Amino acid sequence: MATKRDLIIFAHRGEAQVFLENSPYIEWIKQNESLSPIPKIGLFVPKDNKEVEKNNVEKNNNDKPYILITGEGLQNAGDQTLLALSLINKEISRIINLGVAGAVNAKFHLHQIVEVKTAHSQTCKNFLEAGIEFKTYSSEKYKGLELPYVDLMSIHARALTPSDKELFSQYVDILDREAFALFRAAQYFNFPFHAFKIISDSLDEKDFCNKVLEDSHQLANSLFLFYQNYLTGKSIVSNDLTFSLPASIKHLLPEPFFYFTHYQASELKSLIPNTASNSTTAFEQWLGDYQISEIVEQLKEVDLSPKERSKRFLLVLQKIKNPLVFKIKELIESEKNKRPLSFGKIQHDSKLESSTLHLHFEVKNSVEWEKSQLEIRHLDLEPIFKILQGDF
Amino acid sequence: MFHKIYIEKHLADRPRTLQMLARLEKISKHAEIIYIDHYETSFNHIKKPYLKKREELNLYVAEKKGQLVKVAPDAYGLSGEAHYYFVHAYNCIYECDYCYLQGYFHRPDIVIFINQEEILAAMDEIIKEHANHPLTQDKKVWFHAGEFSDSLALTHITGELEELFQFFSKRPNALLELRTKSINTKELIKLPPLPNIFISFSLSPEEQVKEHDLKTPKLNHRLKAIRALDELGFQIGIHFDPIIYTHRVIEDYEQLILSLNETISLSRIHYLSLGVVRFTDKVFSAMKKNYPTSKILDGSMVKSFDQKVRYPKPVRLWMMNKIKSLLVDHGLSKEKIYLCMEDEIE
Repeated sequence: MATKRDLIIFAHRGEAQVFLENSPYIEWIKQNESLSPIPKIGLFVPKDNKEVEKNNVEKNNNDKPYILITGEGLQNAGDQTLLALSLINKEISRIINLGVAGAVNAKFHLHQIVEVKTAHSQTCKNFLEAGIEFKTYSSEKYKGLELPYVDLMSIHARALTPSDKELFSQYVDILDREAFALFRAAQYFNFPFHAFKIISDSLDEKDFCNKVLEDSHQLANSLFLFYQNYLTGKSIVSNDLTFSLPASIKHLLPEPFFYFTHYQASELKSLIPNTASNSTTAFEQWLGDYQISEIVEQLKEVDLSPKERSKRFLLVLQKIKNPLVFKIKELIESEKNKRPLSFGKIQHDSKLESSTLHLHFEVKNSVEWEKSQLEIRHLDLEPIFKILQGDF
Repeated sequence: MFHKIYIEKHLADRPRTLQMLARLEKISKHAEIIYIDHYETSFNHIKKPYLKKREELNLYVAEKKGQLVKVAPDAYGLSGEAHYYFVHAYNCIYECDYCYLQGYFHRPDIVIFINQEEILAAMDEIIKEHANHPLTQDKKVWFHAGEFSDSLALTHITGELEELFQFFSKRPNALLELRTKSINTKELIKLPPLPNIFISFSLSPEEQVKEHDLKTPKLNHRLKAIRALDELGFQIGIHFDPIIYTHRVIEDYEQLILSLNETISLSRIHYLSLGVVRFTDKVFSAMKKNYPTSKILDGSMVKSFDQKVRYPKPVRLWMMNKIKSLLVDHGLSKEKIYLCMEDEIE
């Protein structure tokens, strides 16, 4: 009998990207091309072991979850989940929803992962007139996890303004656009269901749509690490968010001095030498060459929050590992600082691949607009373009 | 050298197959010879891990089918001229850790295509087309070998050089490039140098060769081969490709340029290409798996304009600008330098 697996449901491909990159998957549609008609579904199936071994990609794909990408909104989420469950219900053991959510409760911080206790829905778009849907669904608390256990509302349209969010904050902690439909579909089939959300934006964020896009890989990576480390039963379940730091460096960065988010932990891993077998000496040498312990001790003395301290430490490591990239970023920032704009900002591609600069302005009246125009007229961007063209 | 030799049955009696077998008798005398219908049956469909080539390298003697000569990608050679490449073989005896072959084929075994007369006929067609077209008749047409295999490394076995030289001796408007990291020039130097055949060597700083160009000839051996060929009158091209970032990259390339200038005056080099290390997703994953401690992985890489994994653009352009300036300062004319697989530079 085939092993039963988790079904992980995402709304967007971006949220699932790290899962799909880390193991070999095939689209369910491609695997069932001979079926007619083929239902249109965003379901991804782990490649079976025979195929995986043949292609020598990864030895064991037995325990990898199914991935369903539903598309945005309650309708898509409900339809796609019911369709997926009708196709593979005999092959799955439980359903997990992972995704981003906006916080309407100020106590949550960005990139924090929370567990959904209850899911509500709106009856119609005009929330003030209609109120909350009578029906709510709830999920049992995941054993062994001590995450904030929150109330969620799945809304019909994106809440684009802080004032929208403020209104919702009277009823729930976080907002998404799909979870309610997933709870309902899981209940139809009587599957255990858990939803975990990573906070992607908050009440104070003005430009939160762009912010979520900018952070999408970080957020997806955190969801992946969270699943791997807390939900697969393979790692020790712990409240310590530094769980994924390599043991070799963990003792150097003790709490409460340092606090690494999931993403930062993953970045830290990429910045230290390979700590796999036979490379202990290389790691020790790296510690000595760059006086890492001394840097850590100095950072402990600085008056910073644990998170800020961790961020500062990562910056030091980035400089050590990629001095040229670091220098380029510093040069660009320095040129940008020389060109302050009263009502706007200059943005460049954070990956440095595109030479395009984006100018963003927020003006409230024609006076501000005229002032901005004047500033643009005198804005010399050539030094920044030159840096982006490798001329520095 | 080879563990097993697979020969397509219909090629068994061809003179070139027999000549190859005679040459292999000396270097792979214990190799098992197996006659097969089509090489694709196992080569394309049965996966063999790339590094298995270290213990068990097989040879396929096969016929190349499909399109025998293809248009080369943009920025493949000097601009303003037509560039094509042809495939005489698949895979390589060397083991550069950045090599794209590790993610390209299902098996690392060597395939030698012996239907060279058909490849030459296809080239002839292209040469005629260019000669008859008013827009291209004045332009030279380049044919590049070495896209999927080193052009010289196995020539003592494959024996195709003589035929190539004969072909190009009669077609002065067509140019041939043999790309190599090999110093196996034994067969080459038996032939008279031609003005339209270029032997181009890929070079990297000495430390980089040691670190990344596994099982290839050392830098000073390659330089010696360049000097010997230049003295015999062969046309020389150079590729600084792939350039890999290190803390000392510019100093190391300056040293390489000095060594090259001592070997052969830079003014005698017909062209020099600059290319920064790049990978498709598939090759990048294969490299991480095959060479997890490769220092290339230390650099921060991003998805670039053509979806390949590269250093960020300012890093690439900075390295190429600096190295280009050094080359010009040491006497290589700007017009002889071209950038490989890069979209823009001042």
